[in-house]
Amino acid sequence: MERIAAHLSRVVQGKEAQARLTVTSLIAGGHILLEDVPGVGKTTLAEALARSCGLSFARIQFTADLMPADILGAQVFHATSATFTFRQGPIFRQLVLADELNRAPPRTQSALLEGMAQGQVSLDGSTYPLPAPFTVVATQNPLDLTGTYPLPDSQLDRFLMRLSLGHPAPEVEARLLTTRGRTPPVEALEPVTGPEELSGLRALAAELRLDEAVAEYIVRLAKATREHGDIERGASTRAVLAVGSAARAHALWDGRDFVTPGDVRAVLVPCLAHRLMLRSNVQGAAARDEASHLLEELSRKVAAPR
Amino acid sequence: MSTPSRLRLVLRDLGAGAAFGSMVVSGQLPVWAVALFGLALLCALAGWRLFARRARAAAVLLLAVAGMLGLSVYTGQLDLVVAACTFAGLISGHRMLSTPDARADGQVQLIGLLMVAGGAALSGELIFALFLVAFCVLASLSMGLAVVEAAVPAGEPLPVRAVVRPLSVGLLFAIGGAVAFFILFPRLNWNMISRRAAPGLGATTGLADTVRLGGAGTLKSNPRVVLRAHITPVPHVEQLGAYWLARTYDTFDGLEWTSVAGPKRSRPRVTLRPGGERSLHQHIELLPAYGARTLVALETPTRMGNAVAHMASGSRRTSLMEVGGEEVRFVASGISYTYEATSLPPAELSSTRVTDAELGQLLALPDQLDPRVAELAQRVLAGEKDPEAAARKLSAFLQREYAYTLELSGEVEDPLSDFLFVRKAGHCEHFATALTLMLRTQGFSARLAAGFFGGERSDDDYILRAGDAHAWTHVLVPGRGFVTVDATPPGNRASQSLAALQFITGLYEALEARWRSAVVDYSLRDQLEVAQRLVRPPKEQGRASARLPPARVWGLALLAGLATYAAWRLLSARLLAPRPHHATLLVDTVERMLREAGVRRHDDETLEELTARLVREQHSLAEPLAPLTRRYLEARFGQRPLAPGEAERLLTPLRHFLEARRAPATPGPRPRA
Amino acid sequence: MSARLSALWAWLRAMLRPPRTLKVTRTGRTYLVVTLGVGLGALNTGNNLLYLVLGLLLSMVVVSGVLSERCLRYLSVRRLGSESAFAGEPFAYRWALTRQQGHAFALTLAEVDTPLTGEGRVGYLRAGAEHVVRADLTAPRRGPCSLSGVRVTTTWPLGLFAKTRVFELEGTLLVFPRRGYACQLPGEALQGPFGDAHSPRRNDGTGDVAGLRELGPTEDARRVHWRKSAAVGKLLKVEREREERRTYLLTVEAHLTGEALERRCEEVAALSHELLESGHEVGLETPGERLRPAAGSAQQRRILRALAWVGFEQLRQEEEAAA
Repeated sequence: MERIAAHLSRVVQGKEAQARLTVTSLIAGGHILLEDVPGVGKTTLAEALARSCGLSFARIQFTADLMPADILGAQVFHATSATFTFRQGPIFRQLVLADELNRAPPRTQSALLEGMAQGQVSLDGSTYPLPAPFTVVATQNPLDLTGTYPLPDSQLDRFLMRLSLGHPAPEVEARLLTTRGRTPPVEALEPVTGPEELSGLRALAAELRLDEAVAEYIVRLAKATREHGDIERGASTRAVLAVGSAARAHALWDGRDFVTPGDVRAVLVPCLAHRLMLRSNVQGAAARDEASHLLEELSRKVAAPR
Repeated sequence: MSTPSRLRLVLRDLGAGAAFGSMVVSGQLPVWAVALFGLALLCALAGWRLFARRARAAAVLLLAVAGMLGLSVYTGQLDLVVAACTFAGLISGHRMLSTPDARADGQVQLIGLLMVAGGAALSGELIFALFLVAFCVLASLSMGLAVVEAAVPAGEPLPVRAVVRPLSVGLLFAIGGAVAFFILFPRLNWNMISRRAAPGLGATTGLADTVRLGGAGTLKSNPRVVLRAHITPVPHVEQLGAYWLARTYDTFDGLEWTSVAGPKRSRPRVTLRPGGERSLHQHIELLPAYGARTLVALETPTRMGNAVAHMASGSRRTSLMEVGGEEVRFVASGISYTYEATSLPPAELSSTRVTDAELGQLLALPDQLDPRVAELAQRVLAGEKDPEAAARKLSAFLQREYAYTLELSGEVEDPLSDFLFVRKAGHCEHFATALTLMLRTQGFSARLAAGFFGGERSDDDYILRAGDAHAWTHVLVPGRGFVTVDATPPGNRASQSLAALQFITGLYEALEARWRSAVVDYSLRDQLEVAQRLVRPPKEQGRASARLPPARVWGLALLAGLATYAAWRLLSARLLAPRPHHATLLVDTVERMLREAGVRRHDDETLEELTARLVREQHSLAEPLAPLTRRYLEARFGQRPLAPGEAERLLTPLRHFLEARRAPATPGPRPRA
Repeated sequence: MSARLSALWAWLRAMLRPPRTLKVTRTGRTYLVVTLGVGLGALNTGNNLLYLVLGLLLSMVVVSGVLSERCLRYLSVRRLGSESAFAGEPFAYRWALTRQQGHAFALTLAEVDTPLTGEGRVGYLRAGAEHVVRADLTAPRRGPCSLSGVRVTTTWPLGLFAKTRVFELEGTLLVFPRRGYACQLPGEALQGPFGDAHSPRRNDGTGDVAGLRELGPTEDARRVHWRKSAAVGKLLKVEREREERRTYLLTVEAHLTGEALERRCEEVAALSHELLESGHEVGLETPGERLRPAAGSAQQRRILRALAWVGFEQLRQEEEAAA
């Protein structure tokens, strides 16, 4: 794990925390939504993740005219054998990068999201299973909303975490400028682990011990979001489960076999911020900031078990 | 505020109902007004706001009613106060049925307040106090809810439970404060013009001018209290078992007893016969349930006077009139009366002035008397010549051979022979009539006496119930005057209603008496007494001290109670609080040490986060802290509890480190945290 | 010496100021009149029951005072402020109320000594939880508005008296200029194509494809992308875009004062809003500040902030020095 993270931050410089969270999410078996302005390395991060884990990778650039078949694949007629065969779409990879997810019409979005939820693809009455560790890293640009189809709340709920990379610190940016030529390009990354090891980690994470006190802490946090005056709709039960699994994966970083309140606090904001519906009618980036802000405030207010 | 809360409106309307009820208990409001208000209250409770639409028509209607009330006051049919109270009730009903906005709410509460004040002016009933408290509680709750409702955003639920609790506590304090104010506020005026008489449920007995045999004896089972007497010297027995004389009868026509003597002139006090040395003095109160104008006193009454009649419009002294048959009546009619009477004890010889006409009547027999009556008397007496002995013989015979019953079916032609020879059962009037007439057939003078038998203790007083009404016989013994002989079996003389019912009415009577003496008649004198008792506790003497422990014992008991309560609160808080984990104790220690060492932390940083940050910053403190933190997390959340003594072992490096750091006189810059 | 005297004076004034102020409401006035009447009646007639009623009325007044005091104790307020406050129109403003113990009912919150009008209400506040109160406030004019405290008023429990407690809380609210109507056309654009085209969106079938949208009921059928429509099964329309983003520089002239300055600020706010909405870049030059042209909603906020500070540069420097 450490190796993956180290690998990642070599490529995406100055973003150790986000890299760690990405790997956490990967191990928790969840999908990731990267939300930020263009040009801060979203795509690079996802690609680096795929390469260092040795996963098969596909990138789908979502555009307004992208059709579900462009993602899932289609029945193709073979003239020689006079039969239809299924040609797999780009979704049949272990790690799929859905770039600018909100640019595609809802029908196309939901094709991807169904795959994310079910782990399989249904097409023309037959179902095709997706490869075993299957993770989607979706990106979207929250600022430029013209010509986009914002994801409905229920779809946002399918992402385990929402991360925002943010601009790198000035010194990192300066270093980037000077060393641009010499940093290892993404293509050059060597896989440090394989899909089997990743599955092993996932199984390990799922078996981590979640103490009663910590479980109760998560529930209390969720309850606080539901009772908060500024939040229209608080964390759902699925959100609670998501926090639990993400916290489990996070505990692996320290090599622990149990979850601490610290793990919960670390994953709380990325896991919950996109699932809350705020009462104020600010949109886009401001809403995201406010949700994170509210969650931080809540995590300060709800006393952690000692 | 969208739609007003149903609960609040119901409380408001019930409060108005209670306020109206406090006026109704005086029994002076016209029946139609009570009916109208009841109707309005029912409609309001059911949620039919009938006047919400036709506000103007309803106002005109109200105006018409006001005109009618004014007219009846002008013609003298209605008291001004009563009319005002009636009108207040009608306005309240009208406001309840209009659109429930803030204005109407305020008006309903305000009129409720006025109605309670009106009720206070109209009546002094105990039930008034209940209605007062009910109004206070209901109106306050409704007002409190209204205040909160106005501030709760539309669509959010009203926090009823949360509102009710502090309000109820406040109300308790308010009632306590009201009592304190009541006791302590100096009464500067002496003109007590409170109306202390209200007819209540109406009268029951109605001691008539005649006693008619026959009819059903439902009266015997009526438990209502009609008379209350304070007797000096106090007899100190639970059941007095005495005869209370109202009047006597000397003429019987076969069906009815009447009296021949006519009324005499009225005087403020009446002396019936000279008193003796061991006279019993009675202060008697005839309650509204009594319903007649005849004075009652213990047998044998000597003097009566000092009578006050209480009317709806106030209390007035009244003079007395002797009617004949030893009956004394009040000249003025009132709802209730108080007077003083003295009586000779039963053993004393009493002389009675009897006119010749009356004396002649004492042997008179009805025209168609059954001859068997005389035969029977003769057979039983067997030649007995002494009047008292003869009377005792006859009454023993009657008590032995005849049964007591209250189940009599209607009128009969000759009730006496029906009783003696056919049914062989009857009630006290039958027994008394039979004895009197049998005595007369044998030439002994006798007459019928009517009044009450019994006397039940209630506090220091004795009460009589409607069911205690009784009839017995007076035998004229030459040289001794009239001697009382009772032919009714002893067990059936007093009231015969249900025991539970008697208990309840007795309790109510006791409460009502307390209420009257402690609240309605509270005066500056009582205040002075209270003040005196506060300043100088009364000398404990006799029974009083034996019954009530001294004040300091109460104080000690109170203190002990408070201490117990405090201890219980403390203990329960201790026991209920979740017991901290062993590892948590370790964290507490570490945090205390860090605080003492001056390591500053962010607002709510847990130890875990602090350690992580220090490690990240490569702070020197991280070295001793990291293993400690890790072990703590394991113990707390990882189910690997600390071994005994392990905590101390873990803390040692940290302690050493902190001591080493403190050793230099000027510690370097503290860790920015 | 004089400083010490003035400090003493301030301290004295703070000591003398009552911690709570009390106002009798309409209902309360009626109640007091009735109480007086019952009291007179009781004194006049000596009717003990009237004394009892009077005692109840008076002790309700006392209890009401105690309950309202309990309601205002253990209370703490902090400002959450507003997203954006525009002059002359209601904006959402928030406070956070916390109660350490016990309950509070029927609180009304408002800012003290400010031209801001409007108040927020809380029906019920339970202990422990932080409650956010929202209010629609209105500020009469543009510019920084200094806030000195929050006034909390309650009519609990019976609505007879309104008790007020003031929480001292310094703060500043920046009120943006009202977005009036832009009467003047913006000056010539600094960059980009000139002419009468206002929007970079093109409808003439030229330019790059910006996206596909379902055809609306009144839209031009010539824009339908037939092949995609056939594949999807419903009518899709092509939207095209051309690099027509232009750059404007708006100015608030230095010589303007008073009404004219306000008017200009409103106008610039409206103009910048309009231009930024249609995708252009807008810069701003005010007497105290210069903003480089940029696009997007962030730029809009920057412009509004700059406009709000126009005429209050002195205050701004103090503010920034303090921060």
